Amino acid sequence: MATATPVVRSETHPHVGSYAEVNRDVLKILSKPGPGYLALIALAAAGFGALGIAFLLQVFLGIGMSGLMNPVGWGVYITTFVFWVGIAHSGTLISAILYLFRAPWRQSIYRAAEAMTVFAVMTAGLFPIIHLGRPWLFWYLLPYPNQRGIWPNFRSPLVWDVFAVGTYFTVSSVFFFVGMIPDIAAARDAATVPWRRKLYTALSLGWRGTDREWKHFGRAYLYLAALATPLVLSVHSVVSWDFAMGIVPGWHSTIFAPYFVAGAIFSGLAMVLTILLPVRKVFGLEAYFTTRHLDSMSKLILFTSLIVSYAYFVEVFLTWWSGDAAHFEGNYVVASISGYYWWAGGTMLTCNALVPQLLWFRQVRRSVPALFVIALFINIGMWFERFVIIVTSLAKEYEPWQWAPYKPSLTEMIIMVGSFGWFFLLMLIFMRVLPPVAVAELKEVLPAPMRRGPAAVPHPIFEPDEEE
Amino acid sequence: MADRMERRDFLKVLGVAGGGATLAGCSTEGAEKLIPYVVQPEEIVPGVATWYRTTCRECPAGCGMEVRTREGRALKAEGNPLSPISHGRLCARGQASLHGLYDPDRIPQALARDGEDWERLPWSAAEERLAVALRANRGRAVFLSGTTTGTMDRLLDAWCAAAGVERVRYDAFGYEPLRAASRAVYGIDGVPVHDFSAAEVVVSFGADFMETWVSPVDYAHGFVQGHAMSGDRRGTFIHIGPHQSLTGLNCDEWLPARAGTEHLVALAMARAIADRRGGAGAGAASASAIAAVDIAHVADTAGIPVERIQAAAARFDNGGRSLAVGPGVASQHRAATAVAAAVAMLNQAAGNVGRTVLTDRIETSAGTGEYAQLRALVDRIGNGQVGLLLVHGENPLYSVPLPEGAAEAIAGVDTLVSFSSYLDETAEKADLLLPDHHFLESWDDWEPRTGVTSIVQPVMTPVFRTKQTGDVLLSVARRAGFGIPNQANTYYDYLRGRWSREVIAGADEEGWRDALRAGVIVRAGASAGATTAGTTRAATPGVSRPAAIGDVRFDAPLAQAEGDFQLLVYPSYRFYDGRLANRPWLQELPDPVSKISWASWAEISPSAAQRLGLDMGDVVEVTTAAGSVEVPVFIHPGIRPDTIAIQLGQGHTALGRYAQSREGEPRGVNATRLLAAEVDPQSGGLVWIQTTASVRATGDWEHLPATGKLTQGGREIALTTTVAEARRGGRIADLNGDEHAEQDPVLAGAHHDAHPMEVVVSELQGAGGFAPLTFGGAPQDYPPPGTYYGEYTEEHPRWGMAIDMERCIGCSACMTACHAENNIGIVGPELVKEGRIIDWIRIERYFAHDNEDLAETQSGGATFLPMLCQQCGNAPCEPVCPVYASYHTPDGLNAQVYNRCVGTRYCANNCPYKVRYYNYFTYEWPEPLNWQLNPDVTVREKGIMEKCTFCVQRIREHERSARLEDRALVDGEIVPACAQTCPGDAIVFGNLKDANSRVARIAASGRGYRVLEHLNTQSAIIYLKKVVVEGSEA
Repeated sequence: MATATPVVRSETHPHVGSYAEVNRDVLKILSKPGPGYLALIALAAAGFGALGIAFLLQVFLGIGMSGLMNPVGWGVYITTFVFWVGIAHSGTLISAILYLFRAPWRQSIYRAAEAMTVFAVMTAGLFPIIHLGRPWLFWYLLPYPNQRGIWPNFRSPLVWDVFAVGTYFTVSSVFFFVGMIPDIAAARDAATVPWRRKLYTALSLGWRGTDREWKHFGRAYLYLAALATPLVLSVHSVVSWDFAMGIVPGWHSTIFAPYFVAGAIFSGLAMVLTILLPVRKVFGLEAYFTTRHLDSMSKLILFTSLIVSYAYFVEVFLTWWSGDAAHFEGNYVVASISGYYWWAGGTMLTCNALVPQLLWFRQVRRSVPALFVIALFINIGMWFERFVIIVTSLAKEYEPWQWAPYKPSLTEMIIMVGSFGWFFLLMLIFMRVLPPVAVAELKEVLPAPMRRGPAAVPHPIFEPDEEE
Repeated sequence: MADRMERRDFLKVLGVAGGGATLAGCSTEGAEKLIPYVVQPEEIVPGVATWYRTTCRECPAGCGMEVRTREGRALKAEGNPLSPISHGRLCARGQASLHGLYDPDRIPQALARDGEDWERLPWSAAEERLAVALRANRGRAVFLSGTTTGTMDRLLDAWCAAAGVERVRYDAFGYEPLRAASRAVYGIDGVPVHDFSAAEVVVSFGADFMETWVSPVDYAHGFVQGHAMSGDRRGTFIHIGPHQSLTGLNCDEWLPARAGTEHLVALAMARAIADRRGGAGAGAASASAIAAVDIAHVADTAGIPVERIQAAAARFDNGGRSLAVGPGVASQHRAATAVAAAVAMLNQAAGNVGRTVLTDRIETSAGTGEYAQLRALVDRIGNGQVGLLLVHGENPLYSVPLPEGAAEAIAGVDTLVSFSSYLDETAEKADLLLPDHHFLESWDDWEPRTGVTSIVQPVMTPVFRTKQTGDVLLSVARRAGFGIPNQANTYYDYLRGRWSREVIAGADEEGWRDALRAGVIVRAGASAGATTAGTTRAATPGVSRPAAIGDVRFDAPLAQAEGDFQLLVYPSYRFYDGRLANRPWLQELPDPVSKISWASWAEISPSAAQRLGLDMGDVVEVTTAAGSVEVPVFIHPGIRPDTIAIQLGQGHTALGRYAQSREGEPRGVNATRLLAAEVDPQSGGLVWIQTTASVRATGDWEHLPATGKLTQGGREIALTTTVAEARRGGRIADLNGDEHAEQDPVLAGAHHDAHPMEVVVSELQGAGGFAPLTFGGAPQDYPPPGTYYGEYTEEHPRWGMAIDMERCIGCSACMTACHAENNIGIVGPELVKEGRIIDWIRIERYFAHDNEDLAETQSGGATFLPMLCQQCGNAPCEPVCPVYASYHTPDGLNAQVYNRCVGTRYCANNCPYKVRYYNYFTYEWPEPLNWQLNPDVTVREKGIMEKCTFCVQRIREHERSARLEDRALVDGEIVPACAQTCPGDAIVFGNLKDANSRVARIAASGRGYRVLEHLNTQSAIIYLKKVVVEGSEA
C-alpha cells in the first residue's frame, strides 16, 4: 500500500496534520459559548416564539388569519413546507449517496448536512399542521386503529406525504445518530464539563472503539446509507405528487417528480453552503472545508440548476405545444411572467436559472463571498419557485369566475420567518452540543500517524479488511 | 415495589388523561345545554316541520308564501304554489324575509322618547299616550302610510275617519305615471295586469319587471314561459332605455334610447305599426298623436337608427301576442306619463289589450298614494299645521327626496309616532315608537290584484314584545272613546268579520280553515270595478292628471342641467327602496348585475370610464344641484356613455348593524340625496330621472366587495347557441315534459364549438386505456362503464340536475334560498373583498367583452350561469381528501362530512368548478338571527370546507317518508331549495337514471352540455345553452 513519496498529508485535506489536530479543532467547538452565539440563539428563539404566538392566534381565531382565500387554498404555508422538505434533501444526498459513490470530499461537510436534513424535516413537519383549518384534529391523517374502522384515504397524496415525510424523518435521524456515535465517544473522552460528559456517555452507547464495534458500525452505516438513498428520491417525488396528482393546470404534470428532486438537491446544497460558509469562518475550519469542497459543491449546484432551468423550459414548451389554453395560461411560468405574479416568477427565474450560471467560472466557485451570495440567491429563488408553482396555478384555474390573486398575510410571514428561527435554533444548539464535523471519518482519510504515504482512498469502512 | 406503577393504575391515568384530552379536543364551539319541552305542545312533533301559508310583504307585490317551521320557529320561506302571484316561487327579498323577522336590530317593545334615550313603555301606557295625543290634536293629525290593501286599508280609512285624522298615502315606488296614463288611455284607475306568459315579444321601456316593477315574481315567471326556447318557439325581448339593470341584461336586443325619449320611441313604433297596417288599429285620439310622430326625428333624438325602430315595431306587431311595459323608476322622468300613455297606445296598436294587457283587472298593490300628497303634507308640516304625525309602513326621511328643511320639520312635529318595526331614519326621530309585528307574526290579508285575496297569518309567536298595528289602532279607539264601524276586540276578529262579510261570505269555520290552508282566495271573473282599494284620490294642488290621451303632454322637456352625465337612479333588486337594507343575506348577496355586495357603486360605460381615466373601484364625486356623493365606479357595458346610474337602497344613517357599518356610518350612498323634490304635474309622482350630474374623479380607490369577472376570459363555461342551431339540434324536450319527443343523444351537438383539442383528446381516450367520455351516451347510462365510481347498485338513483340557461334570468333568488336552507355563514364586506364569500350556488354573469359598450354594438346583455357543485361522477375533490371528509354516496352525491373535515383545502384546490367554500373563521348569527338555523343541517365552524349536496337533507327526508309510507319516490317530489324558488323554473332536479324523469328528458335536449366536460369529471349537471340572437353571442 505504501508509496514511495514521503508526504504525510491527506489528499483531500492537505492542511490537516494529525489525528490530534482533528480532535482539537473539532471538539473545541463543543465548549462554552460566547456572547455572539447566545445572541444568535436568542434571535432564533425569538423567531420561533413569534411563530408560536402567531400560530396560536390562528388556531383560536381561524385560518382566516392567513391570506388564503378562494381560489387559492394553499399559499405561504405549503410553499414553506416544500421549501424545507427540499432543504432536507442534500443532507442525505451528501451523506448517503456520495458515501455510496465514494466521493472523497464529503467527509468534512456531511455531518452538518445531515443535521440540517433532520432539522429541516422537523421544520417542514410543522407546516402541514399549521396549514390545517382544524389543526387539533391532525391525527385524523394517521392510520390509528379505531372501532369505527375509519382509515385515512390512502389514495390521497396528502396521506402519502405523511408516510413519505415520516419515513424520511425516521431514517435520516437514525442515520444521523448512528454515524455520530464514534464522534460522540471521542467528545465524551475529551469532555470536561460534567453535563456534557453525562450526555455524551449516554449518547455514545458505550462505544469503545474496538474492531468488532467498528466492523458492526461500518456495516450498519452502509446499510442505512443504502436505505436512505432511495428515500432521497422518493420523498420529494411524493411531495411533488401533492401537486402533480391534482387536476390544477400548472400542477398536473408528469415532469414534477424529477423536477422537484433536482430542485430539492439544488436548494439543499445552497443551504449547506449558507450554513457552512459562516461556520467555516467563525470556527476556523478552513483546513477542513477546503476550496476543493466548495468547488465540487458548486459544480453540483450548477448541474442541478441546469436541470431546474430545463424543467422550466419544458413546462412552458409542452403546455404551449398541447394547445390547451387552460393549461397554458395556468402554467406557472407563463402566468408568473405575464401576470399578477411577475415579481415572484421573475425572482424565481433570476435566482435559479440566471445567477447560478456564474458558477461556470472557477474563480467564483472558489470565492467564499461569491458563493455565499449565490447560495442566498438560490435559497430565495427556490422558495419563490414553490410559491409560484402553488399560488399562480391556483389563482388562475379553469373557472374564470373564481380567478383572484392571493396576498400573504402578516401571520403567514411571521410563521414563515419564524420557521427559520426554529431551524436555526436547532442548528445552533447542535453546533455546540454535538460534533459538527465527522471526526472519525476525517481521520480515516488522513494518513495514519505511524505510516508514510497518504491514507488509502478506498474507504476504510467500505473495505474494512484492507487495513490488515 | 411501592413506586412501581401497576398496570391498572397506568390504565386509570391513561383513561383520565386521555379522556380529558379527548373532551378538550372534541369540544366544538358554542356547545350548549339542550332543554327538552317540559310540557309537550300539541301539534308539534320534534323533528317534523309544520308549514303555514301566508303572504310575503317585503314589497307590495304580495306573493303567496309558505313558511316551514320547526319546533315553533320559522326556518324557511317558500312560495305558495296556489298563489297566482308567486306561482310557488319567491325572489331573493322574499327568501330573506326571515331576516326581517329575526333582525337583531328590531325595536323590541313600545318606546317613548326621553331626551336622547328611549323610555320603555308597557303597551297600555303607550296606547294611552297615543290616545291622549289624538284627543289633543283633533284636526291637526295625519296618518301617513304606504301601500295598504285589503282589511288593513279598510280599518285605516275607518279609524282615521272616526278619529278625525287625515289619511295621506305615498309609496316610494308608486307608479303614479302608469296609473295616470291608464286612466287616460284605458279608462281604468290603476295599473292593468300584464300576462307575460302570453307574450312572445316583450318590449320594456325602462320597466324592471324582473326586479321590483309591480309584481316581479309573477312577471319574471310569465316572461320565462313566453320567452324561453320551448319546442321550436322562442320569444324576443327588446329593452329600450339608457341603462340595463338585471331586466335589461336579459334582453335579446337593446335600443339604448337617450333618457327622456322612451315615449317618442314608443310612439314611433306605434307609428311604424300603423304604417304597416295602413293606419288601422288605435282610437281616434291616439291616432292623431301617433300620426304626429316623425320616426326619423325620433330616431335622431333618441340616438338609435331608424331601421332598428322599424324592425322592433315589425317584431312587435305580432297578432296580439306581444307586450310593451313601462315606465319604471328608471324611466320616470318629466315625460313619464307620456311614456306610460305611449306604451299603452303601442299595446293598443299591436292589439295586445285584452290578450297580454288585461285591463279588466288591476294590480291593486301597485301604488295607492302619490308623492305629490307627501309634498303637500310636508309643506303643511312646515307651516305648523300638523301636531300629530303617525307614520306606518314607509320611511319618508330616507326613501324619497324632500325639500330643504322638510326633514327637520317632520322631526319637529309635536308628536311623531312611528309604527315601524325597525329604527329607521324616520322612526329615529319619533317621539313614540309603537313597533308593528313582522308580517310573519301578524294576522292580515292582502289584495295584490283584482280578484286575488291572500292571507297573512302568523307562523310563530312574536320574537319581540311588539304589537300589531291593527290591534293598537282598535285598542286606541277604545281608549280615546271613538267608535269605528265593525269595532272588534282584536284585529283578528276585525279581519274575520270582514272576511265572513266580503271575501268568503257565508263560509263557516271550516271554510275559514280551508282558506287558511290555501293561503289565497282567487275569485274568477272579478273585474276591476269590484275592487275597493283606495282608488279615489283627493285633488292635489299643482297636479292635473290627464283625463284623456289628448291631455297627455308628449313634449315634456328632457331632463337637463349643468353636468356631462345624465343621472339615472333605479330601484335595488335586493333592498327595494332601501327598506330591506338591514337583511344580512341581501347585503351579502352580490347584486345580480354588478356582483357587488355590501356597498354602493356608480355605473358608467367602458368608453366613459376610458374618457375619464377611471378604473373599477376608482371613487368619483357625483354632483347635482341638490347634492353630491362620493362613490366608487363599476364599469358596466350595458349603459349609455352619457349616463351614470346609481342604485337606490343604500346609504342608511339608521336601520341597524348591517345597513350601517360597524361604526354606524352609512354603508354606501343614498342616491335620493342627489335629487330635488320635484313633482310630475301630470301624475303627481316623483320625477326620479330629473337631472344631469357632473362627475369628477377624486383620485381615491376603493376595494369593491365584488365577486367574479366581467367575461369568461376565453374559457367556454357558459355556452350559447342560436335559434337556428337550437332547432337543428333536434326536437327540444319541453320543460313541462308534455311535448317530449324522441330521445336525442345527451349532449348531441354540445361540442360543435369546442376546442379542437378536446375532440382529439376524446378520440384518444375512446381508443382505450382511459374511461371513455360519455359523449353520445344517454342519461340512463350513468354511470359510464369502467369508471371507479361506476359501482352504483340497481336500486340507487343517480341524482342530477338540468339547468336551462334560457330560463335563468340571473335574479339570484336561488342564492338566498340556499343560504336560508343550509345555514351558510355571512362573512361581511371585508371578507368578501378577500374572496372568502360563501355561495354554494352562485350566478355567474358574463358579458361578451369587458371594455366595449353594449350601446355601441346595440346587442343583448349578459349570459347567466348558475354554478353549484356538479356532483361529479369522477370527482377530483374526492380522492385528494386525506380523511374521507369528501366522499361519494351510493346515489352519486359528492358528500362532505363536516365533522370529519380537518381543513387541508386540497379538495377546493382540486375542484375545477371552484364550488367548494371554506370557513376561514367561525361566522356568527347574532341573537335572534340564529333562531333561523335549519336544524337538519350542521352549522359549520372555522376550518371546515363546505359545499352544495343538492340539499341532501331534503333528499333523505323524502326517502325516509317514502319508506315509511312504503312507496317509491315520485319524480319531482324532492326539490332542492334553489330549484324550489327559481321564478324561471330554470333548475330541474331528479333521478338521471330514470329515463322518464323530467330531468332526464330535459337533459336530452339538443342544447345540453356539461361544463368543462373535457376534464372527464362526469358531472351530474347538464346545462342547456342559452339561445342568443345571431351576432350577439355573449
